[in-house]
Amino acid sequence: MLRLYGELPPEEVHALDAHLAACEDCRRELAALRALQETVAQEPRIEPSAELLASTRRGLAATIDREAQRHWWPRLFAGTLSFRPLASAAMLFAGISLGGFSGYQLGVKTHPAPIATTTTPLVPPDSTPVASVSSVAAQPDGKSVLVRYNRLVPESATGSTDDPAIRRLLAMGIQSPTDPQVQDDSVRLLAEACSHGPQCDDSRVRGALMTAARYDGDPALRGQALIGLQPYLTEDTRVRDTLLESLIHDNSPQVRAQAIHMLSPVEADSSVRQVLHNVSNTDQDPTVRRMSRIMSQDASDVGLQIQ
Amino acid sequence: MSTSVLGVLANPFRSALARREAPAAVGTLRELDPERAFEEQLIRDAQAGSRSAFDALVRQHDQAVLRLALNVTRSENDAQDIVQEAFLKAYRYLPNFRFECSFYTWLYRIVTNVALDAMRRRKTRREDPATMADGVGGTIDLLGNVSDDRAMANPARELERKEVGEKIHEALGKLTPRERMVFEMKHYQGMRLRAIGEVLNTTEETAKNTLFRATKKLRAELAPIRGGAL
Repeated sequence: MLRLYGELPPEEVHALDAHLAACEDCRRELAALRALQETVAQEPRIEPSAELLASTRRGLAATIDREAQRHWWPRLFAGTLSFRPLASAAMLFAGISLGGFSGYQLGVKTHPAPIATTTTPLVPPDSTPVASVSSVAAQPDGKSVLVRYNRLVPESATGSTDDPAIRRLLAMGIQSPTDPQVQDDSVRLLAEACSHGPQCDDSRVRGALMTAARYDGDPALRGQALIGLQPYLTEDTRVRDTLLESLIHDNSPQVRAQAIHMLSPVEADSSVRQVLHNVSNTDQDPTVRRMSRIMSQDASDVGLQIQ
Repeated sequence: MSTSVLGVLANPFRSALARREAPAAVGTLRELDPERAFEEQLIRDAQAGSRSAFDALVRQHDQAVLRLALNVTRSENDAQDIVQEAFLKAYRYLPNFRFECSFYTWLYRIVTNVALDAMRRRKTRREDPATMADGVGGTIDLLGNVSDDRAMANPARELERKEVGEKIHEALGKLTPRERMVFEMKHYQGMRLRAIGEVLNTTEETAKNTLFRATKKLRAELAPIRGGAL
């Protein structure tokens, strides 16, 4: 059996062949196993349909969304949040605090602060938000308190949308859970850059556009995200699947119609033909049904020409 | 751009750049082939919290996982449940992935565990139809749905094919979930026994013995089809 499955080491294959030549029962056994393999190979294999795959992906995305919204601390206590980064962060925090406190003590000893003199602002400026408070210590004068805090320090990057680093930033902007305007602007700019500029080879950039094409709340932006993906339709099956998902599930007839229009370079693909055929019979919108029918017909003609 | 993306500048981007600039002795990315290096980068970004990186990882594997689940359960609903549960577990436990084995092996350990549990539940329910449950509560005749050009012009042959298919399906249904899974991975997916052992968290030898047992049972069950020639 291992021989039939190609799992026998080469040195044992020769020994087995020599043995088979002299053993009729063994040859019969091998023939029976081969016959079994051929028989079992007749078991019909099921290939997931494009519709099933699309619906599975939607369900999975919703499940992961719900999971991502869970607070981080139950995951910590459930033991599923990695402890190592937390421990590193805690040690770093402790180190900085200890260093700061030692420096402060040394400074106090070396340069006693003049009484009733304030050298730091009482409250942090509003322009730089406070990320966390690291320590609080009552001062010997009994009236003041030393609060150590960390600030979020924004950074900026300026560059062409052809720059891969800028594109990755825009891709992150699409994933932004906090600011819808950032998401919208990022989709617009990235779609424009990917449809006209140099290739968007970074799969995270394409992935962000695919996410926008599926989940953005604005149909115009979903359509724009699809346009940004168009140059990669023939080379990237994930892009093709995204278009098919839009065609099957998008609730906007305009987006579905756009997806049909964009699928023309791959209309001869069997899964595309299958979906077009289904949509031409089942879509609620008569224009979308008509467009699918025409495209489906074109695809059949192409198939005939190829044959 | 009317608003800034600065608010969403996340560490993964900077850490990714830093890794790329790190000397080869520190990062091993340069020693890997580009595809593996890319996957490793995706995993690290997903571990750092990037949802798009996790989605990209899902897209690399979800179709194959769905195919495997669909063929061992023969139910679209069960297959979808397996895919959901497996990737949800992968999402939860990805921060614990330490690159001690390939991501494929790690993911398929989860998938096969979830699938084996589902198959065991099905066994207790004794669901073993030659039809497949579709996603809307209907059924699909598996054997009737599989096109076979060789038999199209010959109804008698088509009937015979269908009967043979039913018998094979029954015989596969008599294997234990573990035997069924090993047989699926070896016979239909063409995986090496060593890889099957790794995925099932066991040894190559155990995987081989499980395959032997499955083959022996199938021979006994299917012998009548070829007049005892198996």
